[in-house]
This record gives sequence, C-alpha cells and structure tokens, in this order.
Amino acid sequence: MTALDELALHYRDRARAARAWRRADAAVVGYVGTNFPVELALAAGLLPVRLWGDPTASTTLADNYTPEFDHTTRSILQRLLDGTFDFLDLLVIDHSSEANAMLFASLREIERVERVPSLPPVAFFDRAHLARPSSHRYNARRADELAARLASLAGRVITDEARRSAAALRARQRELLDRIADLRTQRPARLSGTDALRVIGAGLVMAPAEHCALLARLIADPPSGGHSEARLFVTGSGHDQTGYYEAIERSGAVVVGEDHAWGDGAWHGTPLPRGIVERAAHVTERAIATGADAVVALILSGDAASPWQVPEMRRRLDAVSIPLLSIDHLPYAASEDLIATKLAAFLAVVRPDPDVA
Amino acid sequence: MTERATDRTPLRCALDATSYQRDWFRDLQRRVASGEPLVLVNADAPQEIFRAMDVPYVVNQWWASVVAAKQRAGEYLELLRARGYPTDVDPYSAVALGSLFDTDAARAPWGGLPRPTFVVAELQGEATRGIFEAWALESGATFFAFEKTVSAVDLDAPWWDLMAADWERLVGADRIDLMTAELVELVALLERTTGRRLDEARLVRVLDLINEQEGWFRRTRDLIARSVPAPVDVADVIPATMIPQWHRGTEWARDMAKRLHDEVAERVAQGVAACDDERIRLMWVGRGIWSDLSFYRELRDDHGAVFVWSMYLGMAADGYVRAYDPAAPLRSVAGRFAAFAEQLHMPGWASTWHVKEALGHRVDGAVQIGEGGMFSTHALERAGIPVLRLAGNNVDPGAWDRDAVRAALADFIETRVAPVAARRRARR
Repeated sequence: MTALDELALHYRDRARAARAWRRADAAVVGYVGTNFPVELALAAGLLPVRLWGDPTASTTLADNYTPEFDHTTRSILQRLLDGTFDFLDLLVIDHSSEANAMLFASLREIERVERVPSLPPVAFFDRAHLARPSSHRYNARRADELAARLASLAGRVITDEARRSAAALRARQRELLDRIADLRTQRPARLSGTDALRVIGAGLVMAPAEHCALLARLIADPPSGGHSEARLFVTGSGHDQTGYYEAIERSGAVVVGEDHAWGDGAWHGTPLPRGIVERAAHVTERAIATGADAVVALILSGDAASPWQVPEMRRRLDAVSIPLLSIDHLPYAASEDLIATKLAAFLAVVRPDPDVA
Repeated sequence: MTERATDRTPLRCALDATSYQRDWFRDLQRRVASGEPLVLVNADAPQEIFRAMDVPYVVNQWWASVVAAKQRAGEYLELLRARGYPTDVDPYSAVALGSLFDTDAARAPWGGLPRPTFVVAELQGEATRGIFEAWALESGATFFAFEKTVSAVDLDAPWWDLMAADWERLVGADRIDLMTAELVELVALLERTTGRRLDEARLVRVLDLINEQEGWFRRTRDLIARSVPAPVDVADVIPATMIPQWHRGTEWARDMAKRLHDEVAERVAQGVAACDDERIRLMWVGRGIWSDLSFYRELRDDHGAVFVWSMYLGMAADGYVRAYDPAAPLRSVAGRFAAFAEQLHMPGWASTWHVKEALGHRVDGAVQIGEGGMFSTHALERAGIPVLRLAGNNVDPGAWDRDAVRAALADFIETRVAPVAARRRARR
C-alpha cells in the first residue's frame, strides 16, 4: 500500500487510530474546533482526534435540540448522541465559533435533563480572539485549566520536557505538511486537492509520529504525473469531507491550497477564526503564493461568518487581478451539479484555454 | 366586565416615551452635525461608559426597530445585497448597516442615522464580527470589540435569584477581569479621541440610576404577572420598557420606569384590562415584531388571547440589577454584560428562566419565533405549556407572512392552548 493509500485509509476510517489507541489502554481526547492545543494533549500522552460529521447520515436526534446549528455541527452532535464517538475518554469543545459554544451548552443541558449514556465527559476550552494583553491573560488561564484536566485524564504530570517533545513533533509535522503544500504549488500540481485534503485530514485523527512517517514516505515518492488544470484556491467554510473538492476536480480544475481548518488553514497563518480584513489579506497572500488562477469561496449553509468576508476579499483579490467565485448556501453533502454549473462558466472566464499550463 | 384600555387609552408613558425619543433623536442629529462623535453600539454591549462621558450613542437594534417600523428593512437589506453582503444572516443586527447606504436623507426614517464615529459590539454570534468590521470598512468608523466569553460553570441555583448580588461568582472572576480591562481600554480610546474624561462619580450615579430603573421594571413585571386579567399587553409594554432602556442611566429613564409601574398599578386598581374577556394568556419568546406590533392584538377579540409577557420587560426585571462597590464601578458594568447573552440564549439558563416566567405569569401557551431556542421549547412543554414555533425573523418583511402566522396561531390556540387555559380558569 502506498503512503497516499494509507493516509486515505485513515481519512476514510477516522476512528481507526483512536480505536487502536483504546485497545492499547491509552486515552483518547476528541475535540471540536480549530483552537484546541493539540501539543498539550500529546504532552499528556493522549491521542487527540478532531471530530467530524457525516453529510449523508440523518441528524434526527440533533435536530430535536439544535435545528439552528450548521449541518456539520448538528452532525457531530448527532454522532455524540447516537454513540458513534464511543471511543472518547474526554470531549473538548473549543470556542473557535459561536456554534461550538452553543454545542457545549447544549450537551451540558441534554446531560442535565436526560442523562444520555453515550455522552463522554465534556469540557469547554474558552478562547478570547482579539490581540490584546487582557485576551492573552484570559487565554493563559484557560490553557492552564485545560492542561490540568488533560493531566488528570492521563494520570500524569505534563512536564516541560513532554511539552518540548510534543512541540518538536508538531513542528516536524508542520514542516512535512509545508512540503506537501509545495507539491501542490508546483506546475503542474503534483497532488490533487482531494488527495491533499485526505493527507492533511488524516493528521487530525491519527498519532502525529505515524502521520509524519507517512508524510515522509509520500514526499519521497509523490504520485507520478501532474494536474495542469485551472488552479483554484478554496476559502469559505471548513470542509471535513472531500465531496466538494472531488466535484471541483471533476469539473476541470485543481485545488492548490485552502485556508480552512480541515486543510492548509490548520497549519498556515494566525489561528482561526479571522476577521474580515485579516482573512481577506491572508487569502490574497496565499492565493498568490500557491499560484492560484482564481479563488473559490465555498460557503456551507449555516455559515454565518464567511458571507460577510466576501466583499472585502473580492476587493483585495481584484487589486491583484485574481477572480473570486463565491457560492453560498451550499448543502453539507456536496452538490456536484451545482459545482459543475457554477464552475463551468467561471472557469471559461478564468482560463479560456485549459491547455495553457 | 372590566374595561378594555388599550384601544381607547394607550399607556400615557408609552406615548410620552415615543415623543421623547423623537426629540432626543433630533437633538442627537444636531449634536453630531455640529461635530460631536457618535457611537453605534449593539444592545448587549456595555453602554454605561458613553452615558457617563456624555458621548451620544444609538443602539443598533433600536435603529433596526425604527427601520422595520417604517417598513424600510427590505429596502435596506437590498442595499446590503447590492454590495455583496448577506441579507439572511442576522438581518436584525445588519439592517442598520444597510441604512448607511441610503443616500436619500429626505426619505430616511426619522431623517436618517448619522454616520457613526465608533461602532461597538461584543463578538457574540458568528455574524457580529463581520457586520461590525463591515461597518468600519464601509463608514470609516473605529470598531471597538468586546470579547465574548463563555461560562463553563454549572449553576447551583437559578441565575435570576443570584445575579444581582452574587454576579462575581456566577459570571466568573476571569471573565469580569477581561471585560473590565476592555472597558478601561474603551475609556482610554474615548478620552484620547474625544477629549472627554470619565468622571467616576458620574459613572456611579449612572449605575445607581440603572439599578433604580430596573428595580421599577421588576416591580412592574411582578405586578403584571400576578394580575388576572392583565392590565396591559406586550404591544404597550414593549415600547414603554425599551425606550427607557435605551436611555438607561438617566433620571428621565428612571422616572419613566416608575411612571410605567404607577400607570399599570392604577389600571390594576381600577380594574382596567387589556382584554374585556381575557380567556387565554400567552407569552412571546424571542425578538419583537417591530414592523407589526399590532399583530400582538390580532387574536384578542376572537379568542380573548392576550400576550402578557415578552423578554423585554422580563429581562429588564431580572437581568440588569447589580449590587456593586462604588470604588469599582467598571467591574459591575462588566458583571452586567459579560454573561448577558447567556441569560438570554444559553440552553439551561434561558430555558429555565422562560419556564419560571411562564409559570409566574400563569400563561397558557407560548409563541416562539426563530429557529433556535429548542431547549426553551422542550422545557416549556415539559412544564405543561404548549409552544408554537414560528419560522422567520423580526425585521425582514420577506420572512414574515402575517396571514399564515395568524392562521397558525388561531389553530394553535383552539387545539392546544384553549384546554390548558380552561383548566387554569377552573382552578381559580
């Protein structure tokens, strides 16, 4: 099996590493959001696993409590309630979105009123988001609290040496993912966006050391051939599935980068979420760096933040002559026809001659 | 039979408040035109600093209510759409931004909102940051943001019983530290840019007035709750509550809150009722239908149904009072606002409060607007109070189908609420 196949396997069966970890009597901490300090969990000897949704499955249980949530968050709640995530010793929900804060409060209330046996213990990791000393002080206190909780779960003290070791492991992972990103920015791109999403996403659900080993193998022996289609940079909502990427790449384009947190966005730039100006500047910079012909904002239904970011993003991208296509109200389950229709007209303008690499 | 008051004699204090509000806004327009700064602030962010420093401010949601009442919300949302902004993401908070693009001052509601110098909001909700950053980009205003933090503490008692005195523990010292530091920063920004100074003695006076004002609202809420038939309905009480709320911290607002109480008490004493033949008592859960306040009286004649509760007076009664140390006034401002959203929206906090208020007002049914709040729906239903959930929102006319709502309400009252009301009346 190639490294790419193995990474795709972990991405497809995302509970695989967690279940193996549990069989070895080690603890697993699941997390929801983009601000969870993975290094801290690793330093405590825990396996951190980012939770994901399922666009094809029913959300009947979750809809009974939270019909206003975006579909991804509802799906995660559904899976917590129906026992899909039964491998968790602890769930940490961070404050990277308002939906997350409400998810935490909802779980706490469901547990208080109904005592759902499938629910793991739940902790909230509150975060302030502004670059002010008062916000940093607040965050430091929350990080200390979380460290104590993780240490308690692990039954060990988190030493400075363990922190350094975890940080080094993550730095190694980041360095390798930078090289994976380089494969995408080559002309032609050496890795499709769909494969890249699998490669990056696998690292969010498996042990970093094993992920690094697979990344190193992939870098040493990347897929042969290349993708010389129109080069797109993806922004907008987080995509924890490859459906939209597959639809894009079947429509005659290749995704060479993204700023959402199931892709390159998890590794590049300041922590998510970002404000309008900050995100517009970041997307513009990354679109240029990845050699994108155009940017596509794929905004899922229920994403209340991304639609406000589009006008400023468009202004910034216009200034560097990079076209932007924004598609909003997208269903969580990828709509291939919609993408094909919207993208065909756009690509005709972006790249009239597809043979020009 | 009791006398029905609301058709013939609206609350005098509500009429006076509306008149005052027009004069106040004209004066605000004049002050801003003469070079004074203007703050546009979200309703759930602290406003006491502006009051104490005499910096003119307008509450974003109040302006949205004016726009909606003048039937201009749809037009302003279209102005947003034309600039690439969304129109279906929190339109209540966004519609004021649409008014920025209205170039026809002669047609603008109340002569139009002057361009703000500062826009201020807590980062509550995914859209808020975007809306206020867009304000800053489009208008040149300075955006001052408060962090939105979240309590992970389990409540050991109802928040409404504890908050006035024990807010430091309930909200959490770290959260209050953070917002206090932000308030210090806001004061510094205002002092630097406006040349005005915060006088702490003035702030203490503002806080005292607010506590007095909200204390009157609490008495009024309690009076309405225990009065059957209800002396007033929400169509009267909402403006009589909210206009003084937008002027919190002034003698006028405190006095208007007392006048509301006295007028309601007078009606109770005289046996004046909002409905001749009150048979059904309803609560309205969610934001008010500003574009159509008469809607609340639609079912009065046919069904004897009176909306006796909305969050506006309820939250004024339970959500604002803070006992405080006059040596640390900013801390109590933080104590009022750091957990404000939780009081209104958080599962557990909001849902238990809604049940408390429903039982206290002896309501027979609840009508809830919007997609969220299912925990309140379930909690009310568990308490024996049927709930009708309405889709749509409170400002976008495209999302409000009055005929359909009226039909749904009539059916709800006949099939679900009437039996509950009959049992209540039989117990009396």
